Amino acid sequence: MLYVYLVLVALLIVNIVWNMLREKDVFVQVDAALVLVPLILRLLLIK
Amino acid sequence: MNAKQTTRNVLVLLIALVLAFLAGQDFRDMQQPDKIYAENPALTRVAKLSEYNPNLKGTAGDTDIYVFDSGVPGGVALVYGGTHANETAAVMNAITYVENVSVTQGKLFVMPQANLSAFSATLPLRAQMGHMTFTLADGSVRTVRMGTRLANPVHQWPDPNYRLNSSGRVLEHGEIAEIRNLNRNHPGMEDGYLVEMVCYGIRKLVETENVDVLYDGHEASPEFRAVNFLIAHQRAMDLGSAAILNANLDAMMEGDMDGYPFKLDLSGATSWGLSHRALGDNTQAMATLFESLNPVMGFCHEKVTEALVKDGISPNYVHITDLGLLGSGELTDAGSPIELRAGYHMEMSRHLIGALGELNPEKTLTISGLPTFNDLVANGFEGILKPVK
Amino acid sequence: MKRFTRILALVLALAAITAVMSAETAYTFRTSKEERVVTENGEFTADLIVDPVLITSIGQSADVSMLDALMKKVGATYTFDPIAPAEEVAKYKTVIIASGASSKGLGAAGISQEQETARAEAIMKTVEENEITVILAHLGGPGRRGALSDTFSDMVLGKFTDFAAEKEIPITLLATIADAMTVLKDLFAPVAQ
Repeated sequence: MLYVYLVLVALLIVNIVWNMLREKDVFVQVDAALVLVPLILRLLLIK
Repeated sequence: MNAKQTTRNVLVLLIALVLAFLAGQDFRDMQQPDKIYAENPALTRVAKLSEYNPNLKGTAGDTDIYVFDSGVPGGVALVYGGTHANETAAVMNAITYVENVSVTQGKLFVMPQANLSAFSATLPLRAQMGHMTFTLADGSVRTVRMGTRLANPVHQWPDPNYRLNSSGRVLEHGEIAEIRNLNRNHPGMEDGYLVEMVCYGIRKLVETENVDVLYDGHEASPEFRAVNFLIAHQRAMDLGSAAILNANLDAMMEGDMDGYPFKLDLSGATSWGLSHRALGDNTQAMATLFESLNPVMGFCHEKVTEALVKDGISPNYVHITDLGLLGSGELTDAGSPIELRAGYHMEMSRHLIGALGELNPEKTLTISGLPTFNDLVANGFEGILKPVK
Repeated sequence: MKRFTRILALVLALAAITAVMSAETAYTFRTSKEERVVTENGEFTADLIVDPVLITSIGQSADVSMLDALMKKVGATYTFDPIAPAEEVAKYKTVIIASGASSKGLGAAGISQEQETARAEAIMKTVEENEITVILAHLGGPGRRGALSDTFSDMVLGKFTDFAAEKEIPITLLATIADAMTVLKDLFAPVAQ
């Protein structure tokens, strides 16, 4: 089940990064960046 | 999208990655193990919990157990802390045992960090300090992590939405996260969730080594109704009574006429999954648990500072005490320093061990070498702890 | 202004009456650091203890275990049965009752609150009919700080001391539980041959 959840987190990260790179509004990008930080930490099993 | 836009987007992404890296450092620091002094000449060996549950080998739950075997037949005790990694006095009590105790009859097992995974975890939104530090007389610094109540989710994830655990306790709704709480999952499962496997390891340790009395050290907030209570399984009530009485008599002999504020309570029949109920019901050991007072665990304390965490000084709680709103966790201006709290754990566990032989002479477990309560309180851990190389 | 003055006078009068009543009912601790064991309403001495002795509980709190530990420590000879029914109590000449309610204790003993109340009433009838000496022990004392502790002292300790004074029953008050050793030793310790 752990690997299922890690895959889900990875997909979420990919989705956010993809949208971040295509986004024009910098404030929306910053929001996305804030969301990315804990997801990355969870994907790497740091936090 | 033009090149300028793309460059800016990539830059924001890189900043996010840098932030993740920087934020990750604090969390990675918490995953560095604590250094525990293991050069006590009376120490027989350092065992691993995986010796009692091989499924724990190589996992974050495989904690150290310090074994003091006199080689002389007698009683056997298990003293442990760190079921909840933020309840530091119980950890410090166990560390004090590891550094100082000597056993001349019987066998003693000491486990300072029962839920090892929890020591690497941090508690969101509670402004928790990650470490407690003590500067020793030689200038060196001893550090102990203050983790959380629950195992680190990076070691056991995801939490199930429903779990009927081995104790018969149902974990669901508001108790979902309790699958990572050691003290809701006793007696554990050999091959379950990480915390269940840790609980199983503890159970097998108790069964295999014929532990006669086990002592599970905890701390509680001032709001908790059973601060300074010894909670005993029904088979441990006589032992608990004798221990509390002896502790108070010894205190009076040393001139402290008020003795210790220890009280006794019976383990609830529906305390499924808790050590005093589940290990008492499922092993031969007399299971006990003690709660000391830790103001930082409450909800009404001031800003988190070292004075609050280490010295337990909280004017808010003194005011609440004066209003008569606390059942047992009353606080004065003197606070509830770590040495006092750990000292209570030391006296309670020491006297349980003493009472074991008093009630069952063939189960005598003779220990010595621990600092006295007055020494610990007067000198502090700065004066008691040994430097670690 | 006249109406306000009347209301103020009424409030002050009520406050004064309440203060007087509170002063009359507030419990005053008898024991201190210097005087740790205080006995009122006459003496209760060892010659009033007649064997055999039973220790039982009403309420099934952990206090009965503490009492057992104390009695073991002083080397007393007694029978320990926290759930002794009235018929069993009748076989003894002296009964020490540890009073204190605990839902956990009742649950562990498999007794409901109603059953324990019925047992207590039956025991009270038995001790009266058989002229059994009864010692009531209440070991769960209050902390000595705060309004809640004061309320407890007024309610519980006040009840004990007021009742004892009214019925002229000797009552011994202790600073801490360990101080019970002195009292129990005088009453129950075996006499050296």
